[in-house]
Amino acid sequence: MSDDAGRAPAPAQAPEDEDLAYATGVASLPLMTPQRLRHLLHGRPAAEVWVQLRDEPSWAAAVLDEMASFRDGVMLRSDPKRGRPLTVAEVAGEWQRHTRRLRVASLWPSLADREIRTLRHGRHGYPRRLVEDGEAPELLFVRGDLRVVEGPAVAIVGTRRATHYGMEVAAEIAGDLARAGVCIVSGMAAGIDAAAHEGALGALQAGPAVAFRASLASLESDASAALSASSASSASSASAGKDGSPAPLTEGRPLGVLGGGVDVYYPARNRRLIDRVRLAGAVISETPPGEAPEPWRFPLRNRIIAALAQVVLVVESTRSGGSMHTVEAALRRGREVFAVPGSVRSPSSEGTNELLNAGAHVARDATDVMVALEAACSAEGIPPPRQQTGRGAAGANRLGRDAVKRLLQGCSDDEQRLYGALDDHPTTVDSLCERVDLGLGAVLLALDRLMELGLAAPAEGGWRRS
Amino acid sequence: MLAGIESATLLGVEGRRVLVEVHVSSGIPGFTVVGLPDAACREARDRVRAALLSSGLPWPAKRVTVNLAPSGLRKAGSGLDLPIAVGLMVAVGELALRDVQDCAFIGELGLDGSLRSVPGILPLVAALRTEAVVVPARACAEGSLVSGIRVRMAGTLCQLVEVLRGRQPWPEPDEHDEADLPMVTSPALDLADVRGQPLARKALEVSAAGAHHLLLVGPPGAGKTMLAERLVGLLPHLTDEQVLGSCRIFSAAGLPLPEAARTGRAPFRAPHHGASAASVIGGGTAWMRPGEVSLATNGVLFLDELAEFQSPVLETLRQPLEERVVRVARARATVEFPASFLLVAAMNPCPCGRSGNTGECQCSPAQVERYRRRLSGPLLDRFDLHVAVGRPRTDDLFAGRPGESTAVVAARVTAARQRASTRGVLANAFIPANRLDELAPLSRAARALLERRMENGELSARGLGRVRRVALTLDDLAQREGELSVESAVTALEMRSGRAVLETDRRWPA
Repeated sequence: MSDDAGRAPAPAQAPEDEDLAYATGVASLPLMTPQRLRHLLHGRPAAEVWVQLRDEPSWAAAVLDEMASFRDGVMLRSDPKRGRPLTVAEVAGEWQRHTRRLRVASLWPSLADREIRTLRHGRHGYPRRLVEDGEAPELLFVRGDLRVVEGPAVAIVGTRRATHYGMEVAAEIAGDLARAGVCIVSGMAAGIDAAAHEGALGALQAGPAVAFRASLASLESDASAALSASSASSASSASAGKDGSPAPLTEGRPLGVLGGGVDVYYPARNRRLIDRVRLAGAVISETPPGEAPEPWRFPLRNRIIAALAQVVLVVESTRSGGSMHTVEAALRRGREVFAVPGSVRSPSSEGTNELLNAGAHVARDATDVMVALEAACSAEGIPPPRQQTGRGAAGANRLGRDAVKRLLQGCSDDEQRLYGALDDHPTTVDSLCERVDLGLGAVLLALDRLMELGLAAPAEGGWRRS
Repeated sequence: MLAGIESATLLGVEGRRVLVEVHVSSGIPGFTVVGLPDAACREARDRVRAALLSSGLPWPAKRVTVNLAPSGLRKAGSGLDLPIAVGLMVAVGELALRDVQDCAFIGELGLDGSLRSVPGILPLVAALRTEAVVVPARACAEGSLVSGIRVRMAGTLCQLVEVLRGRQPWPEPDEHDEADLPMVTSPALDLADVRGQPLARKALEVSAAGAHHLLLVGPPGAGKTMLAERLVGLLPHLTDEQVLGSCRIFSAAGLPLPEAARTGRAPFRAPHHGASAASVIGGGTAWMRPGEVSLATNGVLFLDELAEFQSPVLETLRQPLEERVVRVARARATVEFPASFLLVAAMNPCPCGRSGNTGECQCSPAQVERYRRRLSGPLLDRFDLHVAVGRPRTDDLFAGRPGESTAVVAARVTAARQRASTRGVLANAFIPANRLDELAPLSRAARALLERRMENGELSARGLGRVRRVALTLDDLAQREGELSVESAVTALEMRSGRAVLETDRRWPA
């Protein structure tokens, strides 16, 4: 990925950048958490910390003892792996053992091989919004170009158990925002996160009119893992970088915040998506490369998402979903929180509806979000996102009422009645036959025609309006 | 001192002739059975001895050697008890050789001298070349299904010896024995019981008419099982030859004869999803028993909860689906079983079955993925029809019009099959790919429709052939002549949409 290096604002990192190597070494120690890492490293040269950890376990013990999560030298909560609270001495001892064994020099070349850049808090290249953050990670590992997050940025998060509705709305809003030049930040999880990134990527690869279709097509091509138009175009966006003419960063590029190391594909089924996000924008993580995501990483990861974005949008969430962590983190930082209203009967919308009830902003489309985003940009003193011209971002991919009416005028009576019988939820062909009182063949032919016109689409277990 | 008696043993669903040679000589008293007997066969010695003594017949205090020829053929089961006993009687002079001239014997002996039936009477009798055969009384009706051989019966060894000596006439099978012809009887299920569900009903009809394998996907309570059970009633009645074939398989499996023997109705087999590969495919170590795929020959094999079957079991179905026979190879023998069946399967879209748009489903994407991955692509490919079945609406259940009855639909199916037979195939599913252009030319509109669906990637080249066969069946059912109509083409496409349900998750990289 020579393009990454070429695009990077910082000069290519030399392997002899000893400080970052030692910092990565400290971060990779067992029993290390982002909080402990920050306490150990903050403002100190990493090499020095390393030597202290190796030679003076009492120093590490003293540092730990100052932390809020320790009292009288013992952890307040039990360690998930050991199943009991550890003492500072135990933790310091563990670190001493490992610092004696580990050779820091060996860490570095493998990182450089995988195009992973390491950013340290307060140094050049570290994201501006995180610098000021109270819980900023001491180290960030990056694949891709992190400048994408310096402009307007919106976090789109939600449940993994998303409905078709949620996925569609996430993809639509993400696509519209990306076209307006907004960076879409998300967690790369299944469900809403993935749909949002797909929407954003789709917007980058095609003009506004076809963007949504393209994003759908790319989803399908993921399914078949076949070479399709979209994979070709994602390859072409990568090759654009190789030509030395990277696309300007005025377009909203996606940013994925991972729970595990930036070179660990989790969840595995999102492998291709993670790669596409990395090539179009960036993926980052505070977890050292190579480490699998442990469950406790995810709530912490969410604070980075909230801190990097100016606005947090929850598309669908259950009452106790991980998105609620992101919302809490956003509120602590004074970020505006938006939620997409959903069916009161859908468990996947319970959390978002509750957020709305508690005073979150309603997000019906990208325009709703844009207002808060502009305010945030002017407060930060950065240029606001481009305004959408013509028809508002709202439903840019959907046919307007008039367009539908016009299309239906050209349809037969049966087709018009059939459109009337369809709604936004999938309806089985059987019920459609019943509703319009037509034979199976006639209904299917009419559906085919409506599909050609873009008025109907097959959906899980039936058909719905598109 | 030497006697040879004709009998038969079972290999798979075929009977093999066996000559039971009994040699009695002076020497240390003993009884040896040679010629590859299995354990049950070797135990014949003890049963024969007890039966003879109980019947008041002598047991020679001599050296007895029984040879089962041809000696290279593995003999299984207890059906050779009777010929051994008769041979022994002849060898010691209790019976004259002419008494048993040109007569074969099949049957197991009880210790009291009674004759008991054995599995596979039908194929065993069919394998014989003698003028007459003696079978246990219970098996007489079954044996009589074979033409060209006189089937005699006897209740006990004692009775048989008296008859053979000419002191009694052959007992005649009475009415009671005829009624005893064992049969499975299941009540006829009528399609009129199914309310609503026009698409699924149509798919059932198409499946029966074109012999297209059918996969029903839908939530619990959608009526998948109900539909599948009614498919048998739609199939054309079996020919006499097919009936005999099915009877042979059932007989060889040691099961009561199928209903087909009386009514000609196609068999319906629905193994539980815990079934082992051997029970589905056939085989086993001692006795090569036909499996469910063979029992379902000429009829329907229904696999409910398809995804709950063990994957290896499902994968073994691929070969019989392709070749319509099962070859079971064991160290001692390779047996070929017929396996020409219509496969109907039902499954839920996800483990909890509530998958849909309402977010009701509580399965994680990984769970759903795992569930669906149990079905391999090649197996799914063998289903021409993938139909999504929704829950019927409550109004349909209470007030809906009753659908067409089985009789009405079956008449259309029979007519469609007749049209298929004019093309030189049993049903449209068997039309070879290279004859599709000749037999199923596309109308202009149908061609345009299919081209569009292929361009947007909804239809693969392989899928196209299947869609054309299904569309041809639809046209046959509607008695449409000429090129494939667009209406049939679009319906055939919709009848594959269940496939999309299975792959829906992959549309979104969830």
